[in-house]
Amino acid sequence: MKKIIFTLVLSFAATLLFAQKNPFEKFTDMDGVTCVYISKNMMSLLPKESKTQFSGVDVNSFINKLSSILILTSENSKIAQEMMTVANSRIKEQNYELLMRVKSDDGELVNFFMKGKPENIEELIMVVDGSDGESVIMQFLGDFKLQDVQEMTKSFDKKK
Amino acid sequence: MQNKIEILIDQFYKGETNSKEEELLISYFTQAADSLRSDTDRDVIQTLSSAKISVPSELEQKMASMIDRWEMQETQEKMRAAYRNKIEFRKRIIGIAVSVLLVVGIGFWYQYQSAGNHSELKETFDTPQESQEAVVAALQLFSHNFSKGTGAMEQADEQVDKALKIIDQLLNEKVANTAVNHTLEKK
Repeated sequence: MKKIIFTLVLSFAATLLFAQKNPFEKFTDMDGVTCVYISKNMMSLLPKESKTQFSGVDVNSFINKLSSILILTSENSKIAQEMMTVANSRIKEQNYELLMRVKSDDGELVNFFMKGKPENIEELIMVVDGSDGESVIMQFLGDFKLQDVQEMTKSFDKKK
Repeated sequence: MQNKIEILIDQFYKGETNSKEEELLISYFTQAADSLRSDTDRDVIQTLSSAKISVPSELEQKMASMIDRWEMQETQEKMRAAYRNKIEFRKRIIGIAVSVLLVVGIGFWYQYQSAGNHSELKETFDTPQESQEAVVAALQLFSHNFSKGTGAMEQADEQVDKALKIIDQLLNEKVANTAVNHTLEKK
């Protein structure tokens, strides 16, 4: 009997593990939400020969470490608020770690969450809660370091 | 004959004689006055032969009921053991069946889920060029916001450095003034 219970518990745990899906998939079909999804296959097709292809910024090394990019935007304040609520609850449930919180003078709140360790990030999420009712969720899946992110952002900063 | 009687007497004491042989011995001792053996043998054999063992009348019934009871207990014990074995066997069969069902179920479920995961997120753009523009725009927006945070942190670091420098400077000035005052007081 103990063996049966143990098997059941183990199977249930395995089922829960397998059941974990991308938490933001829910929004992709939601009305009033614009969704952009770029898969690893599509990213592998992006031209790599010239920096000019990326507006003069070398982001190849970062893109090569990504497996997908998902961008969700909504200008409808009601839907955006719902999106934020669901996103925040999902982030809490699935133990994402808050990387950085930026509050602009205009009231825009940007949160960066990550899953994994700084030297081995599996997922990086940017949640922009705009003051004008527009909200953006950006999710990067892959296997990269925090240092890769810093180098990529520095490349864009230098271009300015 | 005498040898045979001797042998029979020995067998009698060992308890190996049958009823015919005992009757032979009794008749021998009653008929023959001058027996080969001592009178003690004669007395013993005659006493033992004449003694009637009284068997209780209910003994047979009691023994029969006791034997029946033992037999019933044995039968019941066998039945219980067989029942236990049967239950154990059924448990094992059920356990194996449940395990197999779970493994097969999880396998099917996982395949179904995997298929579902791929189907839900679809590629937004059809061409790499469109995707490229979107990727660059996304990374620009991300970098812009990320730099805001890191920039603020750098500014904060600079402010802290400035404040520490001012504090160091003030402390040094205070120490120097104290030293000058001590020198003047000594003079």
